[in-house]
Amino acid sequence: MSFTRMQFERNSSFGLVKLSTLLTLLFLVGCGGKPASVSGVVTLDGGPLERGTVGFAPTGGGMRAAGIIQSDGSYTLKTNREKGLEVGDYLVTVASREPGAEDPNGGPPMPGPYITPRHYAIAKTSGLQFNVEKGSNTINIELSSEGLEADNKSKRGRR
Amino acid sequence: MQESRNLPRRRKLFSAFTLVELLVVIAIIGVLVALLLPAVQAAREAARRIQCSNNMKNVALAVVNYHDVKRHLPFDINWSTNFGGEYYLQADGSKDPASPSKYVSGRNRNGKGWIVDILPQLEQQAMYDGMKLGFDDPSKKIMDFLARANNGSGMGRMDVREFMDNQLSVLTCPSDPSAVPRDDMWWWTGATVAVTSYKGVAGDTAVGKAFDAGGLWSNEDWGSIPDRFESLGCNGLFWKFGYYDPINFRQISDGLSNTLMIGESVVEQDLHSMAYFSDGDWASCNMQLNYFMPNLENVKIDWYDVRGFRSLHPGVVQFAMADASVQVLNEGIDHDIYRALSTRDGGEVAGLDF
Repeated sequence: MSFTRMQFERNSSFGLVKLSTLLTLLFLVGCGGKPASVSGVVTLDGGPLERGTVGFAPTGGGMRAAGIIQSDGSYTLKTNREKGLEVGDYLVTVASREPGAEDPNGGPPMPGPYITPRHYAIAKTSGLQFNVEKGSNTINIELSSEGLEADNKSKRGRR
Repeated sequence: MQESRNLPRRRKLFSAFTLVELLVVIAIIGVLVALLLPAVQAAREAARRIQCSNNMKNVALAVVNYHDVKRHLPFDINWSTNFGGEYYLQADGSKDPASPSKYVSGRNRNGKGWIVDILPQLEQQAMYDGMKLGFDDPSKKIMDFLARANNGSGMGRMDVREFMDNQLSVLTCPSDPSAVPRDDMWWWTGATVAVTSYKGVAGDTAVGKAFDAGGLWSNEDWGSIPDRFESLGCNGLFWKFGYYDPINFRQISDGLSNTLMIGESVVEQDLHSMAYFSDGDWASCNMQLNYFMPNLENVKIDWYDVRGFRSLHPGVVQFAMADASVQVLNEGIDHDIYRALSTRDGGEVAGLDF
């Protein structure tokens, strides 16, 4: 008798623990924001880019997502403070510059020469468009350095 | 006698909790706390946001009171400028040279920020008087700004440094743990200085365009050109034109209640946050509202991508309008409306009741 009661109680308490865990998990999931996530690798002429910024601007207007390119060429997108982004079509920009020289008076550094051609930095001229679907997306961005020399000759950092 | 013999038996039956019962109780308490804690945290954050909005209100009222006395807004004095060679770039590309400044002479690029002007209105007269040698020293002819750890001139001179790390609570957003005196502010590297969470709106100038930064927001899709590096023509209320022609309320033809004056920022996201210095107290609306650099270490490299407005209050950024009312802007605001609100005389039909 007492054994069966114990058994029953144990089972019910396990049920409760399970239920509460489930509730907590559901609660946390409910707080999670954006429906899609995007990550991938950015390459220039086949080799991974080591630095720079990726921007995803929705074609129909709305909030832009951005990611920083890591030293292995990989990036992950965030929308402001939130991970991920909305579903839809995006115009994509990539800008990568050599690090600028340090300012002797402690001011911010002007960016160095372009690593990726300048037209990739502006949505209208980048020619990069991708569709982002619900769930996790892998979008690898392949760039070509064509036109880079002309970009670096025409304009340099100035104050 | 019989009762006392019965007592131990009764205790054995009813007075102890089993381990299972305790676990159940703990589980129930756990669920309740899990439900309650976010609510408590949200309430605390709401309180911090109200305090922050109160700070902004005080700063905005100080600006309005200053305007009542001086008939113009407080202004920045640049730390590096080409007096005699500066101009307003016109829409057709022509240049309109600036007439000599009434407020700044050739060798007086001292770097005074607009917040210094309103210190008396913020009941900090002593601080204002103490800082005065930094921007108004009758005995010195050369007052160009320089601030290194152990020497400097203009606002960076050593005999006013004792005031430079004075962190006023009215300039500090309580939700931003990075808003404390810091030693990594641009132009003040190595010197520990006070920071501000509240910055003047320079308009929607495309920061970084003049030196072709290629940043996320450094083009005409996001902001106006020219930007402040190239000409005097900012279309907001603070920054570069100020030492030539400080703005007055009559020039705000878009309406005081439709024009952003002061907005919030997060110090560790934008190291241009020195409170009393002219390159630390303004930001532009050319970038997406509430944009945060995804990696903190890039704040130093892509600094032109973060000179906008943002806050740690969930999903919103607060602004004081030019009429000193404090408004809450949703981070999802249409960028064109946001830009229109930031200009003083753009002639756009934009109000907060969108």
